[in-house]
Amino acid sequence: MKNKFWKTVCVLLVCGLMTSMNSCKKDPVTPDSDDAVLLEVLKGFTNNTVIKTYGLLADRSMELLTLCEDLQASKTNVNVAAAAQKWIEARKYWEMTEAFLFGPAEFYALDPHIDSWPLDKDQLDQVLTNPNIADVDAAYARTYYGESLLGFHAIEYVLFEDGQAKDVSKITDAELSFLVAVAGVLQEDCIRLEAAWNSNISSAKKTILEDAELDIPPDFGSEMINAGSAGSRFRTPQQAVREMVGGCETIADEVGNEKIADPYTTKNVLTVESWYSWNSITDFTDNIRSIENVYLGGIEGSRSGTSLSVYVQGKNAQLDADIRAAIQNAKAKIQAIPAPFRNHLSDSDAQIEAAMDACNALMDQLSLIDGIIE
Amino acid sequence: MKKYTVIVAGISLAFFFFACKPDDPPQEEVLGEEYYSGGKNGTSFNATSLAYEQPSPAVTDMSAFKRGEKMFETNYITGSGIPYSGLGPVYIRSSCITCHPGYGRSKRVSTFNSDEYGNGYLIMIHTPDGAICSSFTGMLQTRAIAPYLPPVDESGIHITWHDFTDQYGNTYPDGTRYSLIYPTVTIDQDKILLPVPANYQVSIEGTLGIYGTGLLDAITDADLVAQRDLEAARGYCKGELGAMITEADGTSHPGRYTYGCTRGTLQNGPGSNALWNITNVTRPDRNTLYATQAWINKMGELGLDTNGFAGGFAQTELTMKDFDDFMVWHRGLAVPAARDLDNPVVQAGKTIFYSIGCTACHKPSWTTGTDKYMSGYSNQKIWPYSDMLKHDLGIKEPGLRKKCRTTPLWGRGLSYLCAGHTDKLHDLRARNYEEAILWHFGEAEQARDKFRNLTKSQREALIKFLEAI
Repeated sequence: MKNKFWKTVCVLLVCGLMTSMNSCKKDPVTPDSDDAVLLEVLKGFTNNTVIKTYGLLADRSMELLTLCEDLQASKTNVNVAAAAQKWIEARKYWEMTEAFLFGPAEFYALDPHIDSWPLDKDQLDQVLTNPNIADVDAAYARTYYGESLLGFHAIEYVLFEDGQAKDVSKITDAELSFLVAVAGVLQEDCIRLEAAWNSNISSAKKTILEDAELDIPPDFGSEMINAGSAGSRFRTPQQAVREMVGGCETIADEVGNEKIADPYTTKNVLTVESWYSWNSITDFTDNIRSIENVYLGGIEGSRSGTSLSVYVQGKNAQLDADIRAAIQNAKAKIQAIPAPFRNHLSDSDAQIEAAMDACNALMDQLSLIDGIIE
Repeated sequence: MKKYTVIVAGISLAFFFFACKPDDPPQEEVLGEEYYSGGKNGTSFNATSLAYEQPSPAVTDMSAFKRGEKMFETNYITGSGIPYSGLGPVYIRSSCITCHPGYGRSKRVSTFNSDEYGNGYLIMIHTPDGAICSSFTGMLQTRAIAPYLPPVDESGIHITWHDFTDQYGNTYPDGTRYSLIYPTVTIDQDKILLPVPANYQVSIEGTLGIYGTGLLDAITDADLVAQRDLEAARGYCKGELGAMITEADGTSHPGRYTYGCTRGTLQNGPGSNALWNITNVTRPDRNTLYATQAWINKMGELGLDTNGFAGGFAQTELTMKDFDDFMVWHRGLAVPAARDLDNPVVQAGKTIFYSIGCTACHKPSWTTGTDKYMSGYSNQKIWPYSDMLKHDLGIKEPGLRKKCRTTPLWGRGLSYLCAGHTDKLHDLRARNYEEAILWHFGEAEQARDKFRNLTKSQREALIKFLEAI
């Protein structure tokens, strides 16, 4: 910790010195020129990364609900496997949103609704004994089930066991009723999240929200794109870009110092998220991909526009290279953790510590962006 | 979380200062002491939506801070032996953060729903003279784990908002109109499970923010008493010191936390207490169930198991290590640095703030004493803009507490960004700064009158200053 601290201090002292020298020039970069490029960055971030990812998440959540309904109508192992596979696909897009959990995900409690953990198994057992469980629907689940009974992990519990799609014989009718209701809430929440960033969602999605009597929140995406203008809570484009960077730092910190560190330090298997699917390493990697998408712009396979990376490169090419390398390193080190993570908490210290260090190194690199934003 | 940003920013800025030529802008003014709202060791320069969540430079154990942070943010579940379990059997909320969106204050609502994030009113059932009715806990519990039932079914709680018109017809001298609203609260009799006196009343209070509370803890008792004496000697706005509160270690301290100044130290403060009583998750120093005997009796009458409910539990759900880490986080939350203090409009607003009487109660700064928990908090000049004493604002339907502690104003300008709302005052009746000022009757009415007589641009400048600090 101490070494890392002083390393950080030294790096930042150099940056501070460079900044101070730069600030003393007679002809500094005019604020307007950076405003323009930062607004381009914000536009690309909002449209090509955030809205695109939330759109895909909402699409997958709608497909997941359909497959859960299919499973309820026809209890086969094929249908369990199909729903479980779709859960993994939807989960991937959710994890790839975790670098931008600020704003609507927080304001409307959509993050804890979608991804609360741990699942409250004791209360779930109570819920499943409800004699009217067959009549439970999404509206009921939204009203009467707390966050600890909703979201990905509630669905995961029904569909998975020990890292595999569950054998259909082990899934009760009560669990299927619960599954469909909770998948319905997940679908609505994912659509609402997309709508909160982009009020211009598809008519099919609008209909789902209207039927659930859920409003479309004020357009946060517009606030981000129009940072510095009236109607945006961001007073300047610089503040909004710092919000972007802060989201990335937060998830790098959380992966390294909570999601991996908690199970590793406590050696308690119950502290590993995604208990039933054993999807943890994929979750962690997708969190880093989320940072990668914010930094490089767009999503994997569809990079476009003025990205944060382009801006950083224009200011400090070495920092841009270092951040890119830190992202790749974090992904690689997480992937190197022996799978499943839950079974290797005590016997593979080097790989796990390397992954934690890589996340912290990425966080440290990202924190340097703050000093170059003008 | 940016671990060392503040320290490093400070050092970098020192370079900045020394590197600049004499004809460069006087940067020392930009980073004048008022920017460091929480002092040099208690201020974070993060102005994003994470501004209320940052560790102070004074935090030395980041691992403990992170664990404490998780305890604050997580949803507690039922059962035992699983991480973050122990919720219930009767409780108020399943997580701390539910009532502190973005680590800020709860938001104004018309429908009470303890599952909704940010819907954080605490409800008190009390007699007209302010005593909590004995069937109920000080903060009403509206949730229980089946088959147990809560003392009140929250579907029976009704919050009604009324328009209020002041003696000026809600109109400034310049003709501009304003709007004020206030709440009343009722609970349907048939939704109350336990005995309640016929003349019971219901009050609500929004939650307070958390950042900076460790620094307020570092203000000495003697300085609080001195401030009380100073105000007692003047002819106006005589603040009332919180009642003395005896702690577990036998020492007594004047109350300085909560709107009613009902808690004396942070170690025994509202957050320390809430970790236990909001969720009913027990720990060695809070090993009893937070429930009344009336509720336990009622559960017994219903044939439910109440074994052990009346006494302390030998096996608790949190360890003292857990609690210590929680307190490192709680105490370590930094105050966001002030912003834009060099802006001419903000400076004009500051002049007004100091000239129309606001500082009589919103005492701008304090210097902390020696802090035994976080040494970096010692001897810090901090800018909370509160005298930490209780005053009577003479407002319509104040609820349980006629006198409230002067609210610290530091960091509140970031509430919209961090918590998604700008609601203010003890029951969140003010929807913005302007309404909050206009609810200053009673001891503050002279200052209110001066505010009303400002021009529109002067009023806006004052609010810009409030947003900046």
